[in-house]
Amino acid sequence: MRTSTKSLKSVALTLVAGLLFSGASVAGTTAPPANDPNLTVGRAAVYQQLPASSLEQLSTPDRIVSITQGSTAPTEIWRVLEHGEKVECLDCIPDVAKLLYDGNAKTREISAWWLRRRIFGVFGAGEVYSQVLSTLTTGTTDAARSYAAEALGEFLVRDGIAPVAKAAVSDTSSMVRRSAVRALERLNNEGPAAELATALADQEPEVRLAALHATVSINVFSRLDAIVARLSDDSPDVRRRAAEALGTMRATDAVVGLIGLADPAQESDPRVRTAAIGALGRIGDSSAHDAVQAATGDSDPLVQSVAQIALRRL
Amino acid sequence: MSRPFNPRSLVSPLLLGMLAAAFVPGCATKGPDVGQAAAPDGFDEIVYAVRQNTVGSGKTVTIDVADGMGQVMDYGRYVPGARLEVRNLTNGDVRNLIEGDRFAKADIEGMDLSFDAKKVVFAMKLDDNDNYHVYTANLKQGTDAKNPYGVRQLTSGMQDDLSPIWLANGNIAFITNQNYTQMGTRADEYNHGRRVTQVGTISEVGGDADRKLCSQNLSHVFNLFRMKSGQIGYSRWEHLENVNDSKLFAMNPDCTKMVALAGQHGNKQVNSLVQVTEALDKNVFVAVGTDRERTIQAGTLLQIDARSAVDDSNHDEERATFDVITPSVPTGGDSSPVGRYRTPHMLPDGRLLVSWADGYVNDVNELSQTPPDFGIYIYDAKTRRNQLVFNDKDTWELYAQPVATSVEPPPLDSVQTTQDSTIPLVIGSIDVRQTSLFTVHQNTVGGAQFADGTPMDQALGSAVKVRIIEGFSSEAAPNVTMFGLTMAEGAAILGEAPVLPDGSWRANVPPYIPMHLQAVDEYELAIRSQTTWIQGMPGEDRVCGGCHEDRSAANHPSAQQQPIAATQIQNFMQPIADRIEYPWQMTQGMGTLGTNSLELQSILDAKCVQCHDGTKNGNDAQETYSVTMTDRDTGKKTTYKLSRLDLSSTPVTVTYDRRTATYPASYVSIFYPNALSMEMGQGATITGSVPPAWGIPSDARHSLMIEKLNVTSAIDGTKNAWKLGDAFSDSTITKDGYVGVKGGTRTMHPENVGITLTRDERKALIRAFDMGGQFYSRQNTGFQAYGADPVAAATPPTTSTDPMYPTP
Repeated sequence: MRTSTKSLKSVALTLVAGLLFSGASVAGTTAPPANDPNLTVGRAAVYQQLPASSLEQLSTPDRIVSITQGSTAPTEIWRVLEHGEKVECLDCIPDVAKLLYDGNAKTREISAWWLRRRIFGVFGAGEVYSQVLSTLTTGTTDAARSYAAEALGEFLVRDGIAPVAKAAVSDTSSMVRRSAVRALERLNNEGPAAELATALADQEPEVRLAALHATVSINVFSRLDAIVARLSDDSPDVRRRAAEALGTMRATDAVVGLIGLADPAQESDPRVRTAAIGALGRIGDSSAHDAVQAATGDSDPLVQSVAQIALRRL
Repeated sequence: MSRPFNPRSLVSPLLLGMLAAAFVPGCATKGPDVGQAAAPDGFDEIVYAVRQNTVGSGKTVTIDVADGMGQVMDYGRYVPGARLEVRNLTNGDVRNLIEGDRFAKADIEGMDLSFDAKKVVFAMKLDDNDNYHVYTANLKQGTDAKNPYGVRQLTSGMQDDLSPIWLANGNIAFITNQNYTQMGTRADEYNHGRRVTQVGTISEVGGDADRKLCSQNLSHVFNLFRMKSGQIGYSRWEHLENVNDSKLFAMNPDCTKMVALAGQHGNKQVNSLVQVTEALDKNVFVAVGTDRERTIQAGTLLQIDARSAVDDSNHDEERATFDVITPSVPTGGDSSPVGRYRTPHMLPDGRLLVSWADGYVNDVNELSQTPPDFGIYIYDAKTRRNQLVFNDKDTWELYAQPVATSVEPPPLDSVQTTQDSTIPLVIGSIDVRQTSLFTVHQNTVGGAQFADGTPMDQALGSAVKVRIIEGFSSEAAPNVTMFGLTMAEGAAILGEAPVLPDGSWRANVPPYIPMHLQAVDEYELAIRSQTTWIQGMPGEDRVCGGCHEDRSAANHPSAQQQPIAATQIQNFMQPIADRIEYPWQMTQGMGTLGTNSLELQSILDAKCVQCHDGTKNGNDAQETYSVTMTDRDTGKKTTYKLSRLDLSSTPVTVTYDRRTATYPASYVSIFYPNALSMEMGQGATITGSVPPAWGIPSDARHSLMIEKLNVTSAIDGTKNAWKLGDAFSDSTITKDGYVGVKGGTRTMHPENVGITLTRDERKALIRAFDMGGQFYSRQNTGFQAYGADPVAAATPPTTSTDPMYPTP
């Protein structure tokens, strides 16, 4: 998905180019013959009887290179790289590395995924990984540092944790900080100094929201208090997500704060009240009974319905 | 993609011109911007969801075609502006069930009409900062001005609940990406960070208060569909190494008895079977058949007859037949202008209410900034024609159903009432030798003691154990780039259950988690590795007839009324730390080696590196080959040198600062030759001769290193898997320098040079190869369990009062 302004003329030209290009680019996606040697790797080599339609169809190295040269639909880029998972094309690496800074988020993600599965050419000194690390700290544009953070998250390498954690709390750009928080989520880590908790108090709501999302996705998050503090956030979106996160974590310590958010006299946004009441139901602490009971008469129909359900859990 | 806003330009005249020449089935012409046909017989109204593909106003709009729909199992698409419409086909009246500011930014994913045709259940995301949750709405307007259609929210929280369907007795099934089990975020290894979706159930009355989570697959479960039997039907993404496709499954509403329905055998003709509706006959289905990606989740229509030949009220997945009923529509990702179908729904007269879009319905739309235009049609398989019902060119109309009552399926008795994961799942077989793998599917096995082409039923007669392997994704082995030079998932052995004299076996295993089985012979080698994941609920008892028994034949114990294993159950309810893993090398102090596990490099260090290191290989000097990478922009060449067989822990030059992605020379020496075989000889510039495939992931039986080591029988120590004194399977010497296994003929190695490998050490190597040849496991990555697991952690029960599950 891209956002820009084009003229109708350019649209028509793009259309023609797209159709012409597509004829070449899509031709290889029909099912290959059952005896295609590309289908006889891995488990298929063990059980040759598996039908061709069930098996991975590998991309060729030439095709991998071609999709990095521009004018290819994002969906085709994604397909070729995903089907090139185990294609050990060393010469493809420098070209695919350029896609780490593509304008399409999913293209960036999949190119990082493909690169991280290389045994050579990516993680050596001076190679792609170290270049990305350098970009995170020295990139001259917000976008470059942001995309570098995303790539480090998708590379899933432990050494990426410290630099993205630092970027999550110290980069001057909220775009970079948000990407770094998302990278921590991908790395399944709250940061060496619980930087994820620090990011929960970031000045920009989008960073705080990304951090809240990460807290319920990673296996271990140690700073419940940092989430509880967000129940009084200025942003209703943040309050809503904080309530939901505390419900996911069954945080009994948060019941008092959530009861406050369930009250229309204290919380005017019905989306936040819905989230708070849903969380109280999930936590299941009987001290919330009266508040949830009262919410069954809330002026908002969706709050009412969630309260009726939450009441059954108390 | 974006372009100036002009609704009339959403369908390009150029594109239409091309389509007119190529379009084949049915309704070839475009109707007006809002087209509508006369009401079909049997119903006056239809209900459907309207989804947007275009956002913006003024000079710039964003056209979003594939985001969140790039693959058939994707669910992350959010474009605001959805409506839930009931349209009267007689008079054209339309009412939107989700009117008002509260729903102005909503998107809808999935919808199902109740059996009494009075309400719908659907998944809705209210805004960009929300998740998809399950809602209901009445079709008729009520008296509450604030909530005229009685919209109720049944689920909430920080997870997506999607694709709901009605079940008997006012229950609802849906898919959810909620984290549960100690693995936390379960992500398909092949689908990156997108959390996989599993099945959950609620009641209409209780919503989340009755929330129940079903056992997990390693990959996505998606596109639920109703079944006349009362079961929940669903598509399931299957990913075991390079098996990658979507097949059909079913289970009971209490989450038990997951069974294969269709697509596991036979020529299903497509990669992915999705969006299913059951036909007028029970166990006959119509599905969308398509490729995994790039078709905007649309494709051809297939009829699937999965009826059992013995009892047509039951299904038989291994004899299911597949017939394409829209033959001109592509079955794959072909670039075709014909058009594609989505979300079929069977009508009472046998025709299909479908969504259909003309044109390419793939990334051509992305490039041309012209979204496919899904409208509602009736497809008649007899005439192969589409009849227009309703189409708005500016939006997608999906999930259409006629507003008509339907027969509520029978409620199925629930045998499963707990989500306590300390209560084991019981799995087993009546007789592993009962199999249709050869008689129906002609599957054979070769290698070691089996000549090539040995029938599978004959080979399974040699099974002495069943190996139960837990599968997990990279989220359970944090901070690793991949599990190794293999497509295989993370793996741990829960246990090996002995096959008793009558062929039976039975074991207590942890519920919820995905597993697969291997029948194992007396040499510790897998005979057959199950190519699908199995799983079950706490307290469930899942005993099969055999090892892929005939689905239409009775399965009886071979010797007596009850299998011997009925009273000899193994207990494999082990905490994660005690499960058997084979980390290749413990890395930088990360993690702790379990008491039942072995580090493979330590075996190699003690028993192998004396003769196989960086300078020597047996009696010879070490040989090397190299691969070279060329940067086409700079011309810079980087060369990596590899040894023929260096079993030392010396790091190869693949690390950054010696701290990341470090692989020891042993791992690279053993598995890189096989990895290179996947590149089709086009990618890398290779100098020297690539060694033989010492290690083949998931195939110890054909791995030349295992053959070189050889192994004796656990039953008769005088027997070897590979006959002593015979030539190796690959002792080839070619003109271009390739040399197979050296060292004369088969021996027991390294015993022939005075070094003894214990049986446990030899077994560890065989098992590690058969499990997939992973470098990483949980134990060498510092795995910590997910902290917000809503089901209790699995720990071994000390005593059991349940007569069904006696304390072992």
